[in-house]
Amino acid sequence: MESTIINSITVRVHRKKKDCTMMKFYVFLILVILLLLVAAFAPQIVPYDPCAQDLMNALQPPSAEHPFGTDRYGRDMLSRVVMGAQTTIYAALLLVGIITVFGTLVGIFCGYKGGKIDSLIMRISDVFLAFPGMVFAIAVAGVLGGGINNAVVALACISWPKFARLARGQALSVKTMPYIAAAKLSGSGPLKIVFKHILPNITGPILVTATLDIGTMMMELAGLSFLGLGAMPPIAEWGSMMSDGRSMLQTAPWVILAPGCAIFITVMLFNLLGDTVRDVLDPKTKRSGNWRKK
Amino acid sequence: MKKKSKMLTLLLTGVMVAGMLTGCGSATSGKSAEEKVFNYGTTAYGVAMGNAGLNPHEGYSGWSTVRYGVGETLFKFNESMELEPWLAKDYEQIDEYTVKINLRDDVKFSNGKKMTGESVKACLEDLIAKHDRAPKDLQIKSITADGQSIIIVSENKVPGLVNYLCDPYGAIIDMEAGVSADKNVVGTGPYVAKNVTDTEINLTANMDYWGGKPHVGTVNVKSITDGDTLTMAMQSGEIDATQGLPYASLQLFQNNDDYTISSTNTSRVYQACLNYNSAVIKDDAVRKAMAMSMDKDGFTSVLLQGNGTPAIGPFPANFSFGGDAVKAATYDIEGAKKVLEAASWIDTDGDGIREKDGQKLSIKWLTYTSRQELPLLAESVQATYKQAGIDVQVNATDSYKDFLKAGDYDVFANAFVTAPTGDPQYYFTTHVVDGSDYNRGHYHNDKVEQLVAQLRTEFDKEKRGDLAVQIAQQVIDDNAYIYASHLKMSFVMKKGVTGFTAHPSDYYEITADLDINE
Repeated sequence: MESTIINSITVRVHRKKKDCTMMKFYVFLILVILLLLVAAFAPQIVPYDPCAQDLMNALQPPSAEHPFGTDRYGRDMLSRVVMGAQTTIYAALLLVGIITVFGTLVGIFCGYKGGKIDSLIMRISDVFLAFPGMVFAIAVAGVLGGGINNAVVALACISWPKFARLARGQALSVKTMPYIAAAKLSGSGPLKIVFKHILPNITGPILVTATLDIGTMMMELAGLSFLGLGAMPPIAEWGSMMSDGRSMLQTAPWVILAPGCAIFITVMLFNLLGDTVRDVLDPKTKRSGNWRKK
Repeated sequence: MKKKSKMLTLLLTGVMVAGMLTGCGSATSGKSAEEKVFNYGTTAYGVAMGNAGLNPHEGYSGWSTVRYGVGETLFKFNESMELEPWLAKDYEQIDEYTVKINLRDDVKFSNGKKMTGESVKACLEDLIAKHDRAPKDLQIKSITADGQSIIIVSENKVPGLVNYLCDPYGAIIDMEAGVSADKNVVGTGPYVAKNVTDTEINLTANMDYWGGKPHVGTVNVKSITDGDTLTMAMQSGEIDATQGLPYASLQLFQNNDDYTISSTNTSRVYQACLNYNSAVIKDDAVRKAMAMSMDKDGFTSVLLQGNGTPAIGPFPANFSFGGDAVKAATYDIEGAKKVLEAASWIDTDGDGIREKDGQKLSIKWLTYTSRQELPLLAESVQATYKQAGIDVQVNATDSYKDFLKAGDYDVFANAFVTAPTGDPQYYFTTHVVDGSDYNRGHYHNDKVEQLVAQLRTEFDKEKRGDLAVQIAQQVIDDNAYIYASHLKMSFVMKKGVTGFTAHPSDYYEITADLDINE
């Protein structure tokens, strides 16, 4: 009797927790979608041309006409921050997309295949992991030259091993599952096993890591741009905008605060979404849900 | 007992408070010269600027030798950029090839040795044997020393010889003492370097200086290349004076009673050199449109925040051959559009950038970031050129020398001191004639070649000025160079620092006049 009551209380608590998590997930998802829409339609919604200089209106503080003020070239900061969202967010998404797909494929291949090839590729990934990430990215971007595309390539070079290791670990544990053995016995080819049986079962942790990585990659891209190795002028990009405004922190703080806050809010939003995705996909939460169904 | 301990506590507190107040008091008041320390932060010293070390016979290191009071030249420039004797008393032009220079009798090197004709001869001979620019400038055939005089015989007529000797590479050092492994030298100046690195020079006063005792015992020159760090170092009091602050930061110190600012106009010009090896730039109309589309006034007044003057030609207005002695195209975007249209550069695909014969009007603008004004100029022209239908791809990199070597640029924008010797010849012989060191645009004009050849042999000052105007005008008419602005240089120092003044030549910074009064 007592244990039944405890069980029903636990069920209610879990349900409440689950509802709360889902609610958070939807809120953050909607906010992120909004952000992506702003980025997607940036050219249509900006009040001014973000590259149009108007030296007569340089360094104007925030006003009704220019809510975020103007920079030293008289360009509207609001328009630049909105346009910068497109450059920064899409570059970060592209980067995370590249490293997730590439890293996962390499990882699954190594985990499934095993043997010498696995050792070789994992040693290569160890070499990449042995470098201090940002320093290596700076070196790669320095060799390739400035530009947002080169910055993405530079960061992709250093970031894929993380996903490869994660996918490999997951693939190794899934590989030993009875259903894989069953699939093998039923005559499934390696490609079918990898893409139909292994990949769907390791998507969760990879998706969580990828979502959490969006914020990190955004920061690293902004960092490279800040150092002058990312976006080239006059492209609006948050990191390079902060770098431009650096010397005006004391005299015209809005020039650095606007892109700074944009980075802060966006990175926080993607991180919160990543955390909630993790909660949603958390095996423990899932288990409690399944148990409830019983 | 209790009363006693209370008294003791009060007494101790009193002593501590008094001690603290003493600590807050002026630290330098009543200090002797030996005790005074001057910390100077600058963006202008270091490997990136090509002047690390103090050996004047190497690259631009002579600038550091003279700027930081270690070495001195035979002649110097006054505020009006006129020649004045320094280590020399006077000179006689014996004939067109021969100059006799009489040296001061009272000058000693900082190691106590007397400066004689022989020591000056040894120094100049080492200079022309080792330096990259000096042999071409001076064209010395032979030097003879006779007591406190030297006689210099030139290979060719060198009318600007004495002016060239004011270049910091002409700093006189004791060749017997030589150059140490850390690039330190023994000069005649008011300060002696104790420690020389690529980022810092520690100097102590030369109390036997021939020009009088320095007022400050120790000077530390620190290379701080980041403008914001420099600003904060000045605000926190880590340094007593600075040069090279970002313009945005300069206003923090203006109208502030705690600081003094010394400013002067210099002949340092921000210029764009147009590369004739580029197919697009070869087109006369493109160069003309580029010259017409540069907003020099906007660049100077807004982006440089008034710390400069819009340039017409290579030389500023304080020279008779500078300022409006030449005429250049005015800022006129509509005019530039017409020029391009007349030359069949038309925007056919509606992307705002003009094309001709399938080629886009896109130019690669190469520049560097160690002069903070240059990226600003690049972004400024990027916007104005776009209005005229010219696309600008900015490449602001400190490895610009690799791109120069590879020829991978249409325009190279840089900063250059055009009249470091107070004479126009130096700029022309380094920038506009065939094979000259900095003719990065591969510019050639027969008339310019001929006029520069005349300038090289003309001794009459007025005629030299006329020739300079003609050459500069021809270069501007050909749009081989576009001159944006002449820099106004500012030193910011704590209140109480005296004898630290910005000089139009940009050569003289730390002198025996430097003092700190609290």
